[in-house]
Amino acid sequence: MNKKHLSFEEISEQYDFTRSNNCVSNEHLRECSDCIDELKKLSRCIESLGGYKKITIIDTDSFMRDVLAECKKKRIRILWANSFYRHSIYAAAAVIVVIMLVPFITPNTSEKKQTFLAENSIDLNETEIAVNSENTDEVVYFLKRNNFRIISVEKDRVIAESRYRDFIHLKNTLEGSLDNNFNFLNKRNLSLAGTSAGNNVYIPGGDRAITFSIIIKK
Amino acid sequence: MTNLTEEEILKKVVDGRISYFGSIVENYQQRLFRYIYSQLRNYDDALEVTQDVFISALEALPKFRGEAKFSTWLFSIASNQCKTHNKKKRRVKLIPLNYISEDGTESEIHLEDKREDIEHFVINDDLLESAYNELLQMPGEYKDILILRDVEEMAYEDIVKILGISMSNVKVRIHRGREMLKKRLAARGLV
Repeated sequence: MNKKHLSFEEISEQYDFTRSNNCVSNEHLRECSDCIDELKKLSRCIESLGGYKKITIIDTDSFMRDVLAECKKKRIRILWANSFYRHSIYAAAAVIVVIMLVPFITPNTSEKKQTFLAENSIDLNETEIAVNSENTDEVVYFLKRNNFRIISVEKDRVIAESRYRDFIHLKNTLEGSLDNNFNFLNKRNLSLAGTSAGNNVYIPGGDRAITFSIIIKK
Repeated sequence: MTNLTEEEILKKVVDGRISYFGSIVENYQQRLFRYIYSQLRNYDDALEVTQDVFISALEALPKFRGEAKFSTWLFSIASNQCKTHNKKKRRVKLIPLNYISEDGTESEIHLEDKREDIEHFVINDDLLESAYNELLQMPGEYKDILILRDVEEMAYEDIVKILGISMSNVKVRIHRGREMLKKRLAARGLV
Protein backbone atom coordinates (compact mmCIF):
# COMPACT_ATOMS: atom_id res chain seq x y z
CA MET A 1 0.00 0.00 0.00
CA ASN A 2 1.18 3.52 -0.83
CA LYS A 3 1.71 5.08 2.61
CA LYS A 4 1.28 8.66 1.40
CA HIS A 5 -2.23 9.84 2.21
CA LEU A 6 -4.37 11.49 -0.39
CA SER A 7 -4.50 15.27 -0.55
CA PHE A 8 -7.82 17.00 0.05
CA GLU A 9 -8.14 17.71 -3.69
CA GLU A 10 -7.78 14.01 -4.44
CA ILE A 11 -10.35 13.11 -1.80
CA SER A 12 -12.67 15.76 -3.20
CA GLU A 13 -12.24 14.32 -6.69
CA GLN A 14 -12.88 10.86 -5.28
CA TYR A 15 -16.08 12.15 -3.73
CA ASP A 16 -17.29 13.31 -7.16
CA PHE A 17 -16.25 10.02 -8.71
CA THR A 18 -17.93 7.98 -5.99
CA ARG A 19 -21.09 10.02 -6.25
CA SER A 20 -21.46 9.41 -9.96
CA ASN A 21 -20.04 5.88 -10.16
CA ASN A 22 -20.86 4.51 -6.74
CA CYS A 23 -17.36 3.14 -6.26
CA VAL A 24 -13.82 4.36 -5.59
CA SER A 25 -11.19 4.49 -8.28
CA ASN A 26 -8.14 5.08 -6.16
CA GLU A 27 -6.15 2.00 -5.04
CA HIS A 28 -4.88 3.73 -1.93
CA LEU A 29 -8.37 4.65 -0.87
CA ARG A 30 -9.43 1.01 -0.89
CA GLU A 31 -6.86 0.14 1.72
CA CYS A 32 -6.24 3.32 3.77
CA SER A 33 -8.75 3.69 6.58
CA ASP A 34 -7.58 7.27 7.33
CA CYS A 35 -8.31 8.43 3.80
CA ILE A 36 -11.60 6.53 3.76
CA ASP A 37 -12.47 8.32 6.99
CA GLU A 38 -11.64 11.69 5.39
CA LEU A 39 -13.82 10.82 2.43
CA LYS A 40 -16.70 9.89 4.75
CA LYS A 41 -16.34 13.19 6.61
CA LEU A 42 -16.41 15.14 3.39
CA SER A 43 -19.44 13.14 2.24
CA ARG A 44 -21.22 14.02 5.45
CA CYS A 45 -20.40 17.72 5.06
CA ILE A 46 -21.64 17.84 1.52
CA GLU A 47 -24.73 15.79 2.24
CA SER A 48 -25.55 18.19 5.03
CA LEU A 49 -25.78 20.90 2.39
CA GLY A 50 -28.82 19.03 1.12
CA GLY A 51 -30.67 20.79 3.92
CA TYR A 52 -30.31 23.91 1.88
CA LYS A 53 -32.88 22.49 -0.49
CA LYS A 54 -35.45 23.23 2.18
CA ILE A 55 -35.01 26.90 1.42
CA THR A 56 -37.96 27.64 -0.78
CA ILE A 57 -40.26 30.31 -1.99
CA ILE A 58 -42.99 30.35 0.61
CA ASP A 59 -45.94 31.16 -1.63
CA THR A 60 -45.16 29.58 -4.96
CA ASP A 61 -48.67 30.12 -6.35
CA SER A 62 -48.50 33.82 -5.74
CA PHE A 63 -44.98 33.97 -7.13
CA MET A 64 -45.99 32.14 -10.28
CA ARG A 65 -49.00 34.42 -10.73
CA ASP A 66 -46.81 37.50 -10.39
CA VAL A 67 -44.22 36.21 -12.82
CA LEU A 68 -46.78 35.24 -15.44
CA ALA A 69 -48.66 38.52 -15.05
CA GLU A 70 -45.42 40.39 -15.58
CA CYS A 71 -44.55 38.14 -18.51
CA LYS A 72 -47.91 38.78 -20.15
CA LYS A 73 -47.29 42.51 -19.91
CA LYS A 74 -44.09 41.98 -21.82
CA ARG A 75 -45.74 39.65 -24.30
CA ILE A 76 -47.02 42.30 -26.68
CA ARG A 77 -43.62 43.91 -26.85
CA ILE A 78 -41.95 40.57 -27.56
CA LEU A 79 -44.48 39.60 -30.20
CA TRP A 80 -44.19 42.99 -31.77
CA ALA A 81 -40.41 42.71 -31.79
CA ASN A 82 -40.58 39.20 -33.27
CA SER A 83 -43.10 40.30 -35.83
CA PHE A 84 -41.03 43.33 -36.75
CA TYR A 85 -37.94 41.12 -36.98
CA ARG A 86 -39.68 38.59 -39.22
CA HIS A 87 -41.32 41.21 -41.39
CA SER A 88 -38.04 43.03 -41.77
CA ILE A 89 -36.49 39.83 -43.08
CA TYR A 90 -39.38 39.25 -45.49
CA ALA A 91 -39.23 42.86 -46.67
CA ALA A 92 -35.48 42.67 -47.19
CA ALA A 93 -35.89 39.41 -49.11
CA ALA A 94 -38.63 40.93 -51.27
CA VAL A 95 -36.46 43.96 -52.05
CA ILE A 96 -33.57 41.70 -53.04
CA VAL A 97 -35.85 39.61 -55.28
CA VAL A 98 -37.27 42.73 -56.94
CA ILE A 99 -33.79 44.14 -57.52
CA MET A 100 -32.70 40.86 -59.06
CA LEU A 101 -35.80 40.66 -61.27
CA VAL A 102 -35.76 44.24 -62.49
CA PRO A 103 -33.66 43.45 -65.60
CA PHE A 104 -36.14 40.72 -66.53
CA ILE A 105 -39.39 42.49 -65.79
CA THR A 106 -38.63 45.96 -67.15
CA PRO A 107 -40.83 46.21 -70.25
CA ASN A 108 -39.22 46.56 -73.70
CA THR A 109 -35.74 46.48 -72.28
CA SER A 110 -34.50 44.22 -75.06
CA GLU A 111 -36.36 46.19 -77.66
CA LYS A 112 -34.74 49.39 -76.41
CA LYS A 113 -31.39 47.75 -76.79
CA GLN A 114 -32.17 46.71 -80.36
CA THR A 115 -33.55 50.15 -81.09
CA PHE A 116 -30.33 51.61 -79.85
CA LEU A 117 -28.37 49.35 -82.20
CA ALA A 118 -30.70 50.12 -85.04
CA GLU A 119 -30.47 53.83 -84.35
CA ASN A 120 -26.73 53.54 -84.48
CA SER A 121 -26.94 51.89 -87.83
CA ILE A 122 -29.40 54.28 -89.39
CA ASP A 123 -26.71 56.37 -90.98
CA LEU A 124 -25.18 53.34 -92.61
CA ASN A 125 -28.12 51.63 -94.17
CA GLU A 126 -31.08 53.92 -93.94
CA THR A 127 -33.28 53.92 -96.96
CA GLU A 128 -35.72 56.72 -97.38
CA ILE A 129 -39.06 55.84 -98.83
CA ALA A 130 -41.70 58.41 -99.49
CA VAL A 131 -45.30 57.39 -99.02
CA ASN A 132 -48.49 59.24 -99.53
CA SER A 133 -50.79 58.87 -96.59
CA GLU A 134 -53.09 61.03 -94.54
CA ASN A 135 -52.52 59.08 -91.37
CA THR A 136 -49.14 58.38 -89.75
CA ASP A 137 -50.73 55.84 -87.41
CA GLU A 138 -51.96 53.92 -90.41
CA VAL A 139 -48.40 53.66 -91.73
CA VAL A 140 -47.20 52.49 -88.30
CA TYR A 141 -49.99 49.93 -88.15
CA PHE A 142 -49.15 48.66 -91.61
CA LEU A 143 -45.46 48.27 -90.71
CA LYS A 144 -46.22 46.46 -87.47
CA ARG A 145 -48.66 44.14 -89.21
CA ASN A 146 -45.93 43.21 -91.65
CA ASN A 147 -43.47 42.42 -88.89
CA PHE A 148 -41.41 45.54 -89.16
CA ARG A 149 -40.18 46.90 -85.90
CA ILE A 150 -40.90 50.55 -85.28
CA ILE A 151 -37.90 52.48 -84.08
CA SER A 152 -39.34 55.95 -83.94
CA VAL A 153 -42.42 57.79 -85.03
CA GLU A 154 -42.46 61.46 -85.84
CA LYS A 155 -45.17 63.56 -87.41
CA ASP A 156 -44.12 62.91 -90.99
CA ARG A 157 -41.40 60.32 -90.64
CA VAL A 158 -41.37 56.75 -89.41
CA ILE A 159 -38.13 54.89 -88.89
CA ALA A 160 -38.53 51.12 -88.89
CA GLU A 161 -36.44 48.03 -89.15
CA SER A 162 -36.94 44.85 -91.12
CA ARG A 163 -36.72 41.80 -88.92
CA TYR A 164 -35.84 39.51 -91.78
CA ARG A 165 -32.62 41.10 -92.91
CA ASP A 166 -33.93 40.49 -96.36
CA PHE A 167 -34.18 43.40 -98.69
CA ILE A 168 -36.44 41.55 -101.09
CA HIS A 169 -38.95 40.94 -98.32
CA LEU A 170 -38.84 44.60 -97.49
CA LYS A 171 -39.21 45.60 -101.11
CA ASN A 172 -42.04 43.18 -101.85
CA THR A 173 -43.92 44.05 -98.74
CA LEU A 174 -43.75 47.75 -99.32
CA GLU A 175 -44.50 47.46 -103.03
CA GLY A 176 -47.40 45.13 -102.28
CA SER A 177 -48.96 47.81 -100.23
CA LEU A 178 -49.46 49.86 -103.35
CA ASP A 179 -52.58 47.89 -104.00
CA ASN A 180 -53.76 48.60 -100.50
CA ASN A 181 -53.65 51.78 -98.61
CA PHE A 182 -50.47 53.54 -99.52
CA ASN A 183 -49.21 55.16 -102.56
CA PHE A 184 -45.44 54.95 -102.61
CA LEU A 185 -44.29 58.06 -104.26
CA ASN A 186 -40.73 57.03 -104.84
CA LYS A 187 -41.07 53.43 -105.81
CA ARG A 188 -38.03 53.92 -107.94
CA ASN A 189 -35.95 54.87 -104.93
CA LEU A 190 -37.05 51.73 -103.24
CA SER A 191 -35.81 49.71 -106.19
CA LEU A 192 -32.54 51.53 -106.12
CA ALA A 193 -32.04 51.10 -102.42
CA GLY A 194 -30.99 47.50 -102.84
CA THR A 195 -29.30 45.83 -105.77
CA SER A 196 -30.60 42.42 -106.63
CA ALA A 197 -28.43 39.99 -108.58
CA GLY A 198 -30.21 36.68 -108.81
CA ASN A 199 -30.35 35.16 -105.36
CA ASN A 200 -27.66 37.42 -104.04
CA VAL A 201 -29.18 40.31 -102.27
CA TYR A 202 -27.24 43.31 -101.33
CA ILE A 203 -28.16 44.42 -97.89
CA PRO A 204 -27.17 47.92 -96.97
CA GLY A 205 -25.17 47.93 -93.76
CA GLY A 206 -23.85 44.43 -94.31
CA ASP A 207 -25.25 41.81 -92.00
CA ARG A 208 -27.32 44.17 -89.93
CA ALA A 209 -31.04 44.47 -89.97
CA ILE A 210 -32.31 46.84 -92.59
CA THR A 211 -33.46 50.14 -91.23
CA PHE A 212 -35.43 52.49 -93.33
CA SER A 213 -37.41 55.61 -92.91
CA ILE A 214 -40.70 56.38 -94.52
CA ILE A 215 -41.33 59.99 -95.32
CA ILE A 216 -45.03 60.59 -95.17
CA LYS A 217 -46.35 63.07 -97.64
CA LYS A 218 -49.73 64.31 -96.66
CA MET B 1 -48.75 20.49 -21.44
CA THR B 2 -46.98 18.03 -19.13
CA ASN B 3 -46.34 15.60 -22.00
CA LEU B 4 -44.28 18.14 -23.86
CA THR B 5 -40.51 18.17 -23.61
CA GLU B 6 -38.81 21.26 -22.31
CA GLU B 7 -37.66 22.06 -25.83
CA GLU B 8 -41.22 21.89 -27.16
CA ILE B 9 -42.49 24.07 -24.34
CA LEU B 10 -39.82 26.66 -25.03
CA LYS B 11 -40.73 26.69 -28.72
CA LYS B 12 -44.36 27.36 -27.87
CA VAL B 13 -43.33 30.18 -25.56
CA VAL B 14 -41.19 31.71 -28.31
CA ASP B 15 -44.22 31.47 -30.60
CA GLY B 16 -46.07 33.69 -28.16
CA ARG B 17 -47.93 31.20 -25.97
CA ILE B 18 -46.87 32.70 -22.68
CA SER B 19 -49.05 30.40 -20.57
CA TYR B 20 -46.61 27.59 -21.37
CA PHE B 21 -43.94 29.56 -19.58
CA GLY B 22 -45.77 28.66 -16.36
CA SER B 23 -44.37 25.15 -16.42
CA ILE B 24 -40.86 26.53 -16.88
CA VAL B 25 -41.38 28.80 -13.87
CA GLU B 26 -42.77 25.89 -11.90
CA ASN B 27 -39.81 23.65 -12.72
CA TYR B 28 -37.08 26.13 -11.93
CA GLN B 29 -38.45 28.60 -9.40
CA GLN B 30 -37.20 26.85 -6.26
CA ARG B 31 -33.77 25.98 -7.62
CA LEU B 32 -33.21 29.48 -8.90
CA PHE B 33 -34.54 31.03 -5.75
CA ARG B 34 -32.19 28.94 -3.60
CA TYR B 35 -29.21 29.93 -5.69
CA ILE B 36 -30.18 33.59 -5.72
CA TYR B 37 -31.00 33.58 -2.01
CA SER B 38 -27.53 32.23 -1.24
CA GLN B 39 -26.08 35.24 -3.04
CA LEU B 40 -28.34 37.93 -1.65
CA ARG B 41 -29.27 36.63 1.80
CA ASN B 42 -32.56 38.47 1.71
CA TYR B 43 -35.89 36.84 1.02
CA ASP B 44 -37.55 39.81 -0.70
CA ASP B 45 -34.53 40.65 -2.79
CA ALA B 46 -34.12 37.02 -3.80
CA LEU B 47 -37.78 36.79 -4.73
CA GLU B 48 -37.57 39.95 -6.82
CA VAL B 49 -34.40 38.89 -8.58
CA THR B 50 -35.83 35.42 -9.25
CA GLN B 51 -38.79 37.07 -10.91
CA ASP B 52 -36.48 39.31 -12.91
CA VAL B 53 -34.51 36.28 -14.06
CA PHE B 54 -37.63 34.63 -15.47
CA ILE B 55 -38.69 37.82 -17.21
CA SER B 56 -35.21 38.36 -18.64
CA ALA B 57 -35.17 34.75 -19.79
CA LEU B 58 -38.52 35.17 -21.50
CA GLU B 59 -37.33 38.29 -23.28
CA ALA B 60 -34.08 36.65 -24.37
CA LEU B 61 -35.65 33.30 -25.22
CA PRO B 62 -35.76 33.89 -29.00
CA LYS B 63 -31.98 34.24 -28.85
CA PHE B 64 -31.53 30.97 -26.92
CA ARG B 65 -30.01 28.59 -29.46
CA GLY B 66 -29.82 25.52 -27.31
CA GLU B 67 -26.04 25.40 -27.38
CA ALA B 68 -26.08 24.97 -23.60
CA LYS B 69 -28.74 23.33 -21.45
CA PHE B 70 -31.66 25.60 -20.72
CA SER B 71 -31.01 25.24 -16.97
CA THR B 72 -27.41 26.32 -17.47
CA TRP B 73 -28.53 29.31 -19.48
CA LEU B 74 -31.10 30.22 -16.82
CA PHE B 75 -28.57 29.96 -13.99
CA SER B 76 -26.08 32.08 -15.91
CA ILE B 77 -28.75 34.80 -16.18
CA ALA B 78 -29.33 34.42 -12.44
CA SER B 79 -25.61 34.69 -11.73
CA ASN B 80 -25.39 37.92 -13.73
CA GLN B 81 -28.53 39.36 -12.15
CA CYS B 82 -27.15 38.66 -8.66
CA LYS B 83 -23.92 40.45 -9.51
CA THR B 84 -25.85 43.42 -10.89
CA HIS B 85 -28.14 43.49 -7.86
CA ASN B 86 -25.23 43.40 -5.44
CA LYS B 87 -23.47 46.19 -7.31
CA LYS B 88 -26.60 48.33 -7.19
CA LYS B 89 -27.05 47.58 -3.52
CA ARG B 90 -23.50 48.62 -2.77
CA ARG B 91 -24.16 51.95 -4.44
CA VAL B 92 -27.30 52.62 -2.41
CA LYS B 93 -26.46 53.78 1.09
CA LEU B 94 -29.13 52.62 3.48
CA ILE B 95 -30.05 55.06 6.20
CA PRO B 96 -31.62 53.55 9.30
CA LEU B 97 -35.08 54.70 10.29
CA ASN B 98 -34.77 56.60 13.52
CA TYR B 99 -37.19 58.28 15.78
CA ILE B 100 -36.69 60.77 18.54
CA SER B 101 -38.60 60.10 21.69
CA GLU B 102 -40.13 62.72 23.94
CA ASP B 103 -37.08 62.78 26.18
CA GLY B 104 -34.91 63.60 23.13
CA THR B 105 -33.17 60.25 22.70
CA GLU B 106 -32.82 58.89 19.22
CA SER B 107 -33.55 55.23 18.55
CA GLU B 108 -33.55 53.06 15.48
CA ILE B 109 -36.91 51.74 14.38
CA HIS B 110 -36.71 48.01 13.90
CA LEU B 111 -39.22 46.60 11.48
CA GLU B 112 -39.80 42.95 12.05
CA ASP B 113 -39.53 40.83 8.91
CA LYS B 114 -40.86 37.38 9.58
CA ARG B 115 -39.58 36.14 6.27
CA GLU B 116 -36.02 36.59 7.51
CA ASP B 117 -36.75 33.62 9.75
CA ILE B 118 -37.10 31.35 6.78
CA GLU B 119 -33.71 29.82 7.53
CA HIS B 120 -34.72 28.84 11.04
CA PHE B 121 -38.17 27.47 10.58
CA VAL B 122 -37.21 25.06 7.84
CA ILE B 123 -34.12 23.54 9.41
CA ASN B 124 -34.19 21.66 12.67
CA ASP B 125 -31.23 19.35 12.38
CA ASP B 126 -28.06 20.77 14.02
CA LEU B 127 -25.69 19.66 11.30
CA LEU B 128 -28.00 20.82 8.54
CA GLU B 129 -28.48 24.18 10.15
CA SER B 130 -24.77 24.57 10.85
CA ALA B 131 -23.80 23.51 7.37
CA TYR B 132 -26.34 25.89 5.99
CA ASN B 133 -25.13 28.79 8.13
CA GLU B 134 -21.50 28.08 7.37
CA LEU B 135 -22.25 27.88 3.68
CA LEU B 136 -23.95 31.26 3.68
CA GLN B 137 -21.07 32.84 5.57
CA MET B 138 -18.45 31.57 3.17
CA PRO B 139 -16.88 33.93 0.61
CA GLY B 140 -19.10 34.35 -2.45
CA GLU B 141 -16.70 32.66 -4.86
CA TYR B 142 -16.95 29.41 -2.87
CA LYS B 143 -20.54 29.74 -1.75
CA ASP B 144 -22.13 29.98 -5.20
CA ILE B 145 -20.01 27.22 -6.63
CA LEU B 146 -20.89 24.82 -3.77
CA ILE B 147 -24.56 25.63 -4.23
CA LEU B 148 -24.31 24.78 -7.92
CA ARG B 149 -22.23 21.67 -7.47
CA ASP B 150 -23.22 20.16 -4.15
CA VAL B 151 -26.77 21.42 -3.71
CA GLU B 152 -28.03 21.63 -7.28
CA GLU B 153 -25.72 18.78 -8.34
CA MET B 154 -24.71 20.43 -11.59
CA ALA B 155 -21.96 19.09 -13.82
CA TYR B 156 -18.60 20.83 -13.85
CA GLU B 157 -19.09 21.76 -17.51
CA ASP B 158 -22.37 23.51 -16.74
CA ILE B 159 -20.80 25.44 -13.87
CA VAL B 160 -18.06 26.60 -16.22
CA LYS B 161 -20.74 28.05 -18.51
CA ILE B 162 -22.82 29.59 -15.74
CA LEU B 163 -19.97 31.35 -13.99
CA GLY B 164 -17.94 32.02 -17.12
CA ILE B 165 -14.70 30.77 -15.59
CA SER B 166 -12.27 28.06 -16.64
CA MET B 167 -12.66 24.40 -15.78
CA SER B 168 -9.48 24.40 -13.70
CA ASN B 169 -10.75 27.42 -11.80
CA VAL B 170 -14.06 25.67 -11.14
CA LYS B 171 -12.28 22.58 -9.82
CA VAL B 172 -9.98 24.60 -7.58
CA ARG B 173 -12.87 26.59 -6.16
CA ILE B 174 -14.94 23.48 -5.50
CA HIS B 175 -12.10 21.70 -3.70
CA ARG B 176 -11.19 24.76 -1.67
CA GLY B 177 -14.81 25.48 -0.85
CA ARG B 178 -15.37 21.94 0.36
CA GLU B 179 -12.20 22.04 2.40
CA MET B 180 -13.25 25.33 3.97
CA LEU B 181 -16.70 23.98 4.79
CA LYS B 182 -15.26 20.81 6.29
CA LYS B 183 -12.84 22.77 8.46
CA ARG B 184 -15.59 25.08 9.68
CA LEU B 185 -17.86 22.21 10.59
CA ALA B 186 -14.97 20.31 12.17
CA ALA B 187 -14.15 23.38 14.26
CA ARG B 188 -17.67 23.18 15.64
CA GLY B 189 -17.24 19.48 16.32
CA LEU B 190 -19.90 18.51 13.84
CA VAL B 191 -17.81 16.21 11.66
